[in-house]
Amino acid sequence: MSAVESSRRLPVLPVWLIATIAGAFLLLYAYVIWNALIFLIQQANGVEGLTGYGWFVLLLPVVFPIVVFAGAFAIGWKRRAAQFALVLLTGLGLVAAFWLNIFAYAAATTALYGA
Amino acid sequence: MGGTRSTLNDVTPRPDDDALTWDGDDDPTLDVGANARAGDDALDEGTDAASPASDASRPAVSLPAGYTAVGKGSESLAARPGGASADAESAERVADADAEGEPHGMGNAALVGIGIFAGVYLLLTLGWILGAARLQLVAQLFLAPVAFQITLWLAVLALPLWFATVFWLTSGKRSWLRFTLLAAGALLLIPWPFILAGVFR
Repeated sequence: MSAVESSRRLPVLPVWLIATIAGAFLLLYAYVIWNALIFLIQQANGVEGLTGYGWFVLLLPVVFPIVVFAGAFAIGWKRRAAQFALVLLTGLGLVAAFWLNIFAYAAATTALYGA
Repeated sequence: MGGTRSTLNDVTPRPDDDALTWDGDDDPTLDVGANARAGDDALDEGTDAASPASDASRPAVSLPAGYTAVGKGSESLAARPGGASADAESAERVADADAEGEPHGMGNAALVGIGIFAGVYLLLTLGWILGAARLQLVAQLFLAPVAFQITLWLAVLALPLWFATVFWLTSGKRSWLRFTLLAAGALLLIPWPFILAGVFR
């Protein structure tokens, strides 16, 4: 029991492996960020423009992946490689779901547009 | 301590308990550590062989002073001298097993809970598939098709991934942690595209 706990406290992976796994997933997270940013700019330059609330809502999916990546990294980096990768992948799924939530909201409401 | 808890229902196995047991419940591979050990002595004293699991799953009980057990299965109670101390002892053993927090298999309640969560997750995943597919019409006006496809399938897979991750990372931990994380996942990953499509159209 105590052996298991102490081994969980220490990083079990070499730094290069942590960096490789995190880096590969960071690219995917960044892809979502860029998509959200492009969508934000697109809507801001649209015919109707964005309200202040619209800016706030459409900036959320830009910030959210950063927060989730940080959280997933903190949870996973001291674990085994497969667990680390699975945590990061789950975070990516959460980010994708959030992005679709925002997109569905942006498509369903008129509150974001027309400043 | 245990004496105040026990009622007549606890000490007299009633025939309708049989309705709550299945054939094969006494399979030794189904033993879940502490409970099985606590029930062992009851079994040794010749309890009804048809429903040993119902006895094993129940903490060892004793009669309060002045009561006499009668009927089917009562001999195991009558034969135990100083029931209160034996009860305290076995309760201690159970408490010890809990305090160690070692992975000793899942209890029935935990299994049922996991099953319920699995069903909820399945329904929510279905909601994601339907909701996200409905978004496709609007999305092709604004997003790159490839980006949308990737995002869609990641969102659909989010719930199964969350379930698997929680299951793997909390194996051997306390079960309340597992259930809290599963509940959090279900709340975080409510399929809003599906719900919004129903509200606004």
